[in-house]
Amino acid sequence: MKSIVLSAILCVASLYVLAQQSASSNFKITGKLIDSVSRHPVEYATISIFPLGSKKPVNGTVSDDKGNFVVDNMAAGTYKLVAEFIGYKAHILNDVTLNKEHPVADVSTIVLQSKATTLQNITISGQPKIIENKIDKMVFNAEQDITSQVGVATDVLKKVPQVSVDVDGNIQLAGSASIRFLINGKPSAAFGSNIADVLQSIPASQIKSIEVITTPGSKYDAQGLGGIINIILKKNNSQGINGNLSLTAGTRTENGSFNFNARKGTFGLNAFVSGNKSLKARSLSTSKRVTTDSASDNKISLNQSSSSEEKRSGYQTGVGFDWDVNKYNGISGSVGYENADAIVTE
Amino acid sequence: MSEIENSINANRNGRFHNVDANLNYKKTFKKEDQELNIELNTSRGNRDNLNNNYQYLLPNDSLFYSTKAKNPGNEQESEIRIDYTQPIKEKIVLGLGSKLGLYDITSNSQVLKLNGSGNYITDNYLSDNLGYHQKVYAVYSELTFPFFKLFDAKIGGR
Repeated sequence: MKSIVLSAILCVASLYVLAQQSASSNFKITGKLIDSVSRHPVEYATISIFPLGSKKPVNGTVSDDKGNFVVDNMAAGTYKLVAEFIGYKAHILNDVTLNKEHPVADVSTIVLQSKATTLQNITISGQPKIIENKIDKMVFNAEQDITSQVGVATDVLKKVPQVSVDVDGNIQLAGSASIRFLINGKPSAAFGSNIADVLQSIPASQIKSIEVITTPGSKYDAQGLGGIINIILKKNNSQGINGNLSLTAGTRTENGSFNFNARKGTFGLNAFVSGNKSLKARSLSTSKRVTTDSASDNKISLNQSSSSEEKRSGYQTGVGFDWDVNKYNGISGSVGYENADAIVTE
Repeated sequence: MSEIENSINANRNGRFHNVDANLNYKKTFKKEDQELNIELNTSRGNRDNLNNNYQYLLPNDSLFYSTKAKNPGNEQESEIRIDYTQPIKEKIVLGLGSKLGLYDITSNSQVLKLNGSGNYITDNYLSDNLGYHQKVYAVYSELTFPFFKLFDAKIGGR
């Protein structure tokens, strides 16, 4: 509002100056448009001239690359000037008068204020169902399920129909424990060790969907499988490096692991080391057995006592990479090493 | 009543190492679902088990039965597979692929047994050798199509 008043004053002042000039038959309106904040000229803005009281424009123009505009071939009269451009509030000047005394009305500099709200991006999206049934598989869209965002992969699997998880984190699919696990459709070296542990290490928030393939097609070997569980992870394109170290201590087992991830551009690298140790545990047992031979009435007594000591240890390590060469070609690979030791003494 | 007292000592020692490697190449095309996948997997494992058993007669602590077993083993697995899917029309998808798999397992168990004169000699009844070799060649094709708008059908052979 303030700027309108100011412009109006400027307008009146300039009209006064122009009044000193010689009269011309070609009436015109001139001026300049600038941005209120940057003070840069506003190009290609539309200037419309309305006769006072009319809603139909009689003339108009577009500002040039310096923000200047000239509306010529005007007739004498009083006009309303409207300057507008995308993203700016329309600026209205009432009472621009053209007559014999004022053939050229210079409205001077018009300051256009940008609109507080600019046009937002429009996103049209459809949401897939949480559970989709396809011909050979069932897809659980964990991403769509708000309750599947916390915890680990094991927690998400508990929500998938037909899958059951016991207290130790072992998975069964429709009652069968012989399940082939895939990550992003590929077998993972990590699943060679302990599936329950691997599933505990995948955060639920990283899972996009879980596919349960109960009737594998000809694509898969007929190796007496109960089914295939394919865990599809969210594509993580965030750049940079991250790592995590975890150590667990207990009176019976000790665990430690270190994971490292790095991604630059379309190249990702990951490495891990993990180890576990079961401390020396001693177990004792005794048994007594008496056998009677009914024919000779002989009795044989067997007394046994035993003690056994057991300790185990193991470690796994591996590196992997994935590289999206371009939009259509991708390569990934990994190498893993695993070692385990067990010593039992009785 | 006769009484026999004995003491049994045993120790078992097992260890294994395993190396896995895999390489995967995936090519996608402008057409959605048109995909070529080449996959190489290999795994090499090595295990070693020792199993010693001693039985002593009490109270003299005289060793009367003993075995010493050594069982080294090897496992090798290599696999190469090529999968290709080609969408023909909307909802009609053709899949083709092949696989070559080589699996080799060897195990050699040697058991030594204490004889009457206090020496360990190989016991042929308890010792054995295992060799397992499997070669898998597979090709398959499958076709997914809608069946009278009622349901989707998938037909395949391997």
